[in-house]
Amino acid sequence: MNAQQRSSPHIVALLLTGVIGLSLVGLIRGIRYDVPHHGELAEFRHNTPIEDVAAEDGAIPATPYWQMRRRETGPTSQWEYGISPIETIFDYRRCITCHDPHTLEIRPDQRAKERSLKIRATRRAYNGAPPVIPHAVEQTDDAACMACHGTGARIGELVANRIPHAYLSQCLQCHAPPAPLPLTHQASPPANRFAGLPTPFAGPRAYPGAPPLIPHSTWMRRDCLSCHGGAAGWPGLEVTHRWRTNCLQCHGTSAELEQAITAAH
Amino acid sequence: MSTDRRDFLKAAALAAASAVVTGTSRSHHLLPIVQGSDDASGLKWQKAPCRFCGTGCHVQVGVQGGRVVAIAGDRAAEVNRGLLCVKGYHVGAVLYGQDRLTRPLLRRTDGSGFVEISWEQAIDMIARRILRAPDRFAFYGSGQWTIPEGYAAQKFMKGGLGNNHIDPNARLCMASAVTGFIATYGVDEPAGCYDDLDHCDVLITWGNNPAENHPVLFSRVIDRPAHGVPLDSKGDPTRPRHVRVIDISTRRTRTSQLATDFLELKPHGDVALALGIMHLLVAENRYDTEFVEKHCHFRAWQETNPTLTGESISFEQFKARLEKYTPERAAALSGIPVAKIRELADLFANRDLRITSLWCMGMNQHSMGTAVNTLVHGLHLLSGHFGRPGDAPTSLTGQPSACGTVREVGTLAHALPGGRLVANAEHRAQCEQLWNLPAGRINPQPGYHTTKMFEQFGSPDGTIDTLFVQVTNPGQTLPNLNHLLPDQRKTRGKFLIVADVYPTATTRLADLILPAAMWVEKNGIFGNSERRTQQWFKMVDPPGDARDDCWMTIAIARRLYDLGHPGMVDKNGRFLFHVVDDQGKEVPIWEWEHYYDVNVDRALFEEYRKFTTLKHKNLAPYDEYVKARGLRWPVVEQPDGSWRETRFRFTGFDDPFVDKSKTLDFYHSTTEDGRAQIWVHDYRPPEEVPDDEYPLWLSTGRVLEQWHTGTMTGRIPQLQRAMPTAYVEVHPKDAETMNLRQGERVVLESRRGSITLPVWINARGNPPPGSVFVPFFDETKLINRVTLGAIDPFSKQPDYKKCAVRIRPVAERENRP
Repeated sequence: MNAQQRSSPHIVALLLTGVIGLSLVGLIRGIRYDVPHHGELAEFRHNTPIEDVAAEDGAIPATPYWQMRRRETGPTSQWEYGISPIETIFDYRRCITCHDPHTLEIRPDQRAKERSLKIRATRRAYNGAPPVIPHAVEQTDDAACMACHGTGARIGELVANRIPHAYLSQCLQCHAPPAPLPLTHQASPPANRFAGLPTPFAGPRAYPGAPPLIPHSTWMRRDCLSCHGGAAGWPGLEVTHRWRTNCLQCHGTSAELEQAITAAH
Repeated sequence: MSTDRRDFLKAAALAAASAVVTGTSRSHHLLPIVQGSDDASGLKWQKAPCRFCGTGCHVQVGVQGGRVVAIAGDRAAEVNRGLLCVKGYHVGAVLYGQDRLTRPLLRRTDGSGFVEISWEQAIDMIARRILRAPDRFAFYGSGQWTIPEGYAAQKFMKGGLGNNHIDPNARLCMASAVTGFIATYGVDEPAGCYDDLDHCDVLITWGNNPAENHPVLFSRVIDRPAHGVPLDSKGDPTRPRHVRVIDISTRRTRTSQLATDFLELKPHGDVALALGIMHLLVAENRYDTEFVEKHCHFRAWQETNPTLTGESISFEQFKARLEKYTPERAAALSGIPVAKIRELADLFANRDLRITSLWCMGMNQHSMGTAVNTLVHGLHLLSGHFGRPGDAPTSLTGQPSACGTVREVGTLAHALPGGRLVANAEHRAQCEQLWNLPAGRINPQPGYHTTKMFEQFGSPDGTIDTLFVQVTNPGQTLPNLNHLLPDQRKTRGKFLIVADVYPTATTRLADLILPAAMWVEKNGIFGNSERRTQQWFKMVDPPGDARDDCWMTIAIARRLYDLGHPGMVDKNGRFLFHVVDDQGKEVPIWEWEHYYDVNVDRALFEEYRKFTTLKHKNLAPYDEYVKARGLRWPVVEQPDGSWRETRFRFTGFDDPFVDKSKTLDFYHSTTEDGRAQIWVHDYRPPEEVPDDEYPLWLSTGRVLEQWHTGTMTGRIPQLQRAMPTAYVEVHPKDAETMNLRQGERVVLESRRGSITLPVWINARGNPPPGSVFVPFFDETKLINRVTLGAIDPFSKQPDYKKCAVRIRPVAERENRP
C-alpha cells in the first residue's frame, strides 16, 4: 500500500516530464518547420492531382485551395531563425505615437546607422536607384509585397520599410528580385565596371547645428518616415523630432539631385 | 573627381556587385558610403531616351568625372512622367560591362581566333571587298540604329552603291504592323498616341504582354492617379473611373494578372475572334453605319496575286464573307467562349465607350500577320471606335527606333526615305533629286528582305558574299537558325562583318568585328512607337577605339570614293556625305579625329527632313528637338514661328493636314477619296500544328528584366541577377504527365533543332496545358534553333509564336557540363 502510494507520484512526474519534453520538441520543430529554406523549393515536385473541371457555361471555375500555386516567398540571407514577434508599427493617427513622453528623446545610434547604410548600399546601383529586392518574391502578386511593405513591419532586426511613394501596381517593374527559385542555381554575376553615385553618410550642414540638407532626391520619396520613422524605418536613421511634420520646411533639397534641369537639357 | 577615388569606386562597385549576386552580401556593400558634402559635386544631368524598348521613356543621365553614375526618370517627359522600369533605372551600367569590344578584330585565316587590326586596315578591307563586287554586298541593320545612322546607311547603299540589299532586324519585329497600316490607311504608323491610354475606358491587349515588355505604358493605364491622371478626368460622372483591361492571349502573363478579364486564345485564334466580333456587329446591324458610310470602303484580297491594295468589295459581299464566322464557329476556332465573344461585340457596339487596342509581337510575329493587323483596324473602323482620344488601334514596337529609323527612314529592301518605294519610278526620281544624284542611280529592283538575305549569304551558291551587320544580333534572333545562319566559316568566300559593343552570338561567327560606341557615347535621334522623334547629345567617351556606327558607314563610303567607286559622288562630283562647318568649309568627317568637329547628326537630320513631307510625316528642325522631350510628327511650323506636334492623325480637331470642318480625313487613302479600308480575310490554321510526334505548342517571347538578346541587360548585375537564364514554362498538368521536376534540365526539340533548358512550373507566366513558352534572351540557350521559319506572305515577317515541339529528359551523357 505504502509502496504503491510512493511510486504513483514518480510515474506521474515521469509521464509529465515526457509530455512536457515532447511538446517542447514539437513546439520548436513546429516553429522551424514552417520557415521555408533557401533552395528547398528547387527540389519541389508538383505531384498534386489536377482534374479538369469542365466549364459548361464558359465561366472559369474557381481554383480550389489545393490547386493553388505554391508560394515562393522566403527569408532573406540575413534571416536567422528564432522566436521574435512581428512588431506592429506606429500608427501615426494616434497622438501618443509622436508625443509619448517616454520616447520623446531619440538619440540615433551611429553604429546602427553605419550598419543600416551598409545594408542599404548593397541594394542600390547608385544613390537614387530603386532598391533591388533582397528576398525571394512572388512573381505575379503585389499583394504579397504589400502585406509587409504596405504598412511597414519589423521582425527582430529585419525591417520592411513602408513604401515611400504612391501605390503603383507591379512592384517588380522597378524593383529587381533575386532569381526565381527554380532558376537560382543558374546565376552567374556579369562583371561590370559601372560605379554608381555613392550613397551619402549624412546630408551637408551649413554650420554645426544647422538642419542637414537632404542628401538624396525626394522624387518618389514622399513619405520621409518610411525610412526615418523609427520602428518601421532604418535603425540609426530615425528622426529625432517626430512631432515636426513638415520635413521640407527645414531640410533643403539638392538641385543637383532633384533633376532641377532646364528645359533644354 | 580624382582618379584614385574613381578607381576606388570602381573596385568597390565590382566587389560588391559580385557579392550581391552570389548572395554573400553580409560583409560587403555595393556603393561606397561618403560624407554628404561632396558626393554630388560636379554631377551633371542631361536628357536622353532610354536605350531599350520602343516605349521611348526619357531618362535623365547623371554624369560625373566623364562617367555615367546615375539615372533618373525624367519628370518633364510626357511619355513616362518620371517613372521608368527596372531596365531603364539600370541603363547606365550598360556602358560598363567588362568585356566591351574596344579594338577592330580580324579572324585569323586559319580560323583560330582573332588579331587586333587598325581602323584604317578594317575600313580599307571592307571597302575593297565591296568594290570587288558591289552587288554581292548586303547591309543588315536594326531598329536600334539612330535616325542619322539609318539614313547614312540608306543613302550609302541605295544612293551610292545602287544596291537595295539593305534590311533591318525590324523585319522580324513589326513588318506586319507596317503592311497592316498601309493596307488600311495607305500610310504607315499609328494614328493615335499614348494619350489614348489616359482616355480609354476599355483596353484590349491582343497577344500582348505590356506589363513586362512596355511596363511604363501599362502602368500609365492601370495606375492613372499615380501618373497624374485624375480618374474623373472629363468631369463627367457617367464615365467609368477605371480602365477595363481585357487580355486576349495564348498564355497567362503578368498582364493577365493585372487585367480585368483574361481570354485564353488558341494559336491563330485572334483572326477568328476578330471575324466573329465583326460577324455579330454586321449580322445584328450594330456597327456604326454613319462612320462606315462616311469614312470606309470594304476590301478583300484578289483571288490570284493578292496585293496590299486588294480589290474593292461591296458591303453585301463583305457581309456574305463574314457569314460563316458565327459566334459558335469563331468560338471553336479561337477557343474563346461564345458568351465572351458576344460580350466583346457588345463593347464594340457601344459608342459611349472609348476602346484602345494594343498589340505587338503576338499579332506581328504571325504567319497571318498582315491579315490580323488589318482585321483589328477594321474592327475599330466598323464600330466607329477611331479618331477620338481613347478610341484607337495602336501597335507597339520593341526597339527604340523601329519607327524612327526603319519605318520613317525606310531602311528596308523595298523602301526609300519618307514612305517612298524602290519600285516606284517617281519616288526614285524624287530621291535622286533630293540627293542630287544622276537619274537612274537608284536600282528599281527591291533588294533581299531579311530571311532571303541570310539564305543568300548562308548558302555557298547564294548571291551575297559580304554582309555587314550593325547594331543587331541575327546569330540569336533569326528564326530556324540552323538553316538561316549556319557557320559561314565553312563556306568559302563569304565574309561577315559585325559592328557591336559586346561579344554576341553573331560576333562569334564574324570574320571582322568592329567595336561600336553606344547610346550616350554618341549623338543620336530615336523615333518611338507614338511617332515621337527624340534627340540626345553625346555625354561620355566610348571605351578604347570604339567608334560611332554612322562614322563607320561614312568612312567606308569615303574609302570607296578614294578607290574610285563612281557612286560615292553626287552629280557635281561632291562626296555623298558632304558636311560643312559654320564657315561653309567641308569638314573631313570620315576622319575620326574630325567627326565631332561638327554635329554630323544635325547635318544628316536636316538633309533627311526634306524627305518627310511627301507622306505628311513632317519633322521640325534639329534644334527644336534639342529643346523638347521629343515631338510627335507631323510637326508643323505655326504663324508665330513655334512648332506644333500632332497627337491624333487624320482628325479634324488635331491634324494640321485635315480641314477643320471634317471629322476625319484619311488623306493617304489607297482609294484616294479620304477613306480607310475595312478588310475581310479567311481563317487559316498555323503553318505547323502539334501532332503525336511533336505534341506541344511552343511560343517564344521576352521577359521584363532582359531586353531582346540580352547582350546589354545580361551585363547589368541587377538585371542578370533577377533573370539569369532562359527556361521553359510548363503547365503543372503537363509537368506531371511528363514527370518533370521544378528546375530540372530537359531537352526541347522540334523538327529543326533542339536546346537544353531548366523547367519552370507555375512560372511568371502560365501557358495552358499542351503549350510551352521560352524567352529568347539567353545566348547560351538559343531557342531560335527550334523555331519555325514560316513567314507572312506580305510583310515577310517570321512567326516565332507557333511551332510544334516535344520535351524529353536529358540523356546521361548530355547532362555533363
